[in-house]
Amino acid sequence: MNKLKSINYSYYLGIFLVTFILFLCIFGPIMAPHSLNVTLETQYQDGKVLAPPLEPFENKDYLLGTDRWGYDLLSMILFGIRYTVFIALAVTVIKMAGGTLIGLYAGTMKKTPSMITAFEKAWSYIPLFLILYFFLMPISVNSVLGSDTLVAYFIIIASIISIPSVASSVRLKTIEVNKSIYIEAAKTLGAKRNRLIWKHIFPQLKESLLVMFILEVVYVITIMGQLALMNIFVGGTIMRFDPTIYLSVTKELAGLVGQAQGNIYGNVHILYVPLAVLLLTTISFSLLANGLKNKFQSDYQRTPWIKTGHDPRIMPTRKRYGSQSWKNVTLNKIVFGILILLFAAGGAYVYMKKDADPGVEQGKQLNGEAMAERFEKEELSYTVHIGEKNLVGDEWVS
Amino acid sequence: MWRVVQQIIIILLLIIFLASLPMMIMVDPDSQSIKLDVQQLPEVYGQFFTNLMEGSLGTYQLGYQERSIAQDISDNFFTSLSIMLIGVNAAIVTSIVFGIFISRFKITRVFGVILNILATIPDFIIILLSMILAVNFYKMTGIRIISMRPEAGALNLWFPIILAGFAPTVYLFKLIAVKYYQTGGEDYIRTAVAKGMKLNYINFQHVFKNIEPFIAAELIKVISLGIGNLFIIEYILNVPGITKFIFQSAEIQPIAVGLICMLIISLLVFLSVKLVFFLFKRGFIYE
Repeated sequence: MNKLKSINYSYYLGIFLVTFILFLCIFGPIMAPHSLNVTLETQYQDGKVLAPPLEPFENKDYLLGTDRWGYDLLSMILFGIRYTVFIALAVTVIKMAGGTLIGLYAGTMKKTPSMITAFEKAWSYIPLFLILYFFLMPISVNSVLGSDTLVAYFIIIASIISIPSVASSVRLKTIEVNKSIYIEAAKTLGAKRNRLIWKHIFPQLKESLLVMFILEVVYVITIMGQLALMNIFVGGTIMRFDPTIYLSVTKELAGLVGQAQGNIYGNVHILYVPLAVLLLTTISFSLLANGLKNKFQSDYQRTPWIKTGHDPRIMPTRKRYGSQSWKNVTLNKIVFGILILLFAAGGAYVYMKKDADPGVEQGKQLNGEAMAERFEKEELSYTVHIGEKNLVGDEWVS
Repeated sequence: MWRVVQQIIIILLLIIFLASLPMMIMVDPDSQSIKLDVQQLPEVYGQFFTNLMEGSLGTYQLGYQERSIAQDISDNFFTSLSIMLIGVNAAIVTSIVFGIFISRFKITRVFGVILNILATIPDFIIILLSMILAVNFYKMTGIRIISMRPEAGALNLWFPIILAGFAPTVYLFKLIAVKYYQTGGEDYIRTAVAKGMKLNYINFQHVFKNIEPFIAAELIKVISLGIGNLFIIEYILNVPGITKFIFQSAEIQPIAVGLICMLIISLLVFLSVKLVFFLFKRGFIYE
């Protein structure tokens, strides 16, 4: 029982979910059942009317339903999720790299200039999404710029404006580590600043930087969501008049949520479906961050002398020196191995299935030439049942 | 003191720069690139300041009508102020009480788990979900717990207050929990325990005193979290607050006035939290 309690669930669940999300990002468009331009046309099927907006789980061709113009929600999500995750990752990589560099060097200064702290505090006061909002509002709606350009602008601006906050927290952590006795010792032995930073301070911060990285991914997605609520979609907004509606160009998840926000009054599934996927994305990254934090905390914390409500229940893992070889098979390695295998196998399967003949899409017609070709190959056949009588010549025949 | 003045000057410059952004950035259709139109800036700023000198705050767009800012500013200001004041103070008190003083009880564990689960959901999704929930609650029971009508008074306000206090609570509680755990391992706590002092006494006289500087250092971050959410909350829940000036307008006047009001609000909230700390220390802790 105790052993079950001490498993780091959020760590494993987080890794699994993040892998799944990444899989969707890479292979999503291949897996999408419909293209982004095909709409469900109103039609009869088994005596029932199929008309957009279709509710989720009603029709197996449109698993997550359609929006009110008949576009398949699942396909839109599969096409859009890579934008959300990859943009978030790109922003985070740039800002973490910049922020860490600045923070490390600013934190090892002998005296921090008061300008830096004043600027940090001033900057942290204004919500970042507001700055982005003012930047993107003039260029994003019905823009003549391509969506790639807009995405690039978003990545650059978002990473630049969030560097100060990352730099500030790295700086504070650096100052904390810089007070340690082993830094004193290294200085006494003649270590210069660069060596201190990269050989002594940075290795100490590696783990908290990793947790911070994943949390910042979530934060960027949050900012994208907040902008989407204001109808600023990453990659451009299409604004249609009469009635005024806003559409996302790239179909990224936050944009899908934003463009469906009016659906809170009716056809709520158009809002719920992308919202649920967005939630899944952020939750998987937060779970991973939480799991890593639990792991590091249980590994490195000192036990308090008084009772607290937050004791980690996870057993610390201790490094055993001399046994660090890849040959040592542990349960963790087996689980990760299986996960990687699944990822590769799934990818290969999806990739091979990609060119499988989709046949005739529902509600569509083949043009004459293609039809003739396939009759020739005997891929298509037909049987005719005639129940009614037809007039042939002067006679009614059945 | 000089540092505070320096900060305020930087923030004011930042606000004026931000407010002029929508007028400055343009897309050049020929070269398909972004152009910064800096030439008209002196004129824009000049007009802004002459307007202020004349005692006029300008106008803003509300739906299709243009209204004078001066007429609406006091109501909107106090609405936003009350949301922030109550929300942030409640957040700080809750997280300190749960994080330090009743940290050892089982209830904190439950509270922590709930907050941890909620913390994995981005704030704006929580705001959206809670609204959906409130609407469904009304549909099922017929009891109206929130109202989107701007003039609905308390019915329109209590929900935004809770939502505004939510993000600061999550952030601060996590921070305090970690700090409490770390402080618990210090030697002076060991000494206090060895002397046979009661846990409550240790919490007040040893732990709180040592955690307070960290909370004070994070106060600006906490308030800015609240402010950031306030924008979304007022926008979604249709609260007639200060953010009404900022969205829907591309002029420098309403944006700058709105952001400066925000600055004043966060200063007031900051001072009120300091006051609460001061009173608390006077009442319970030997200085």
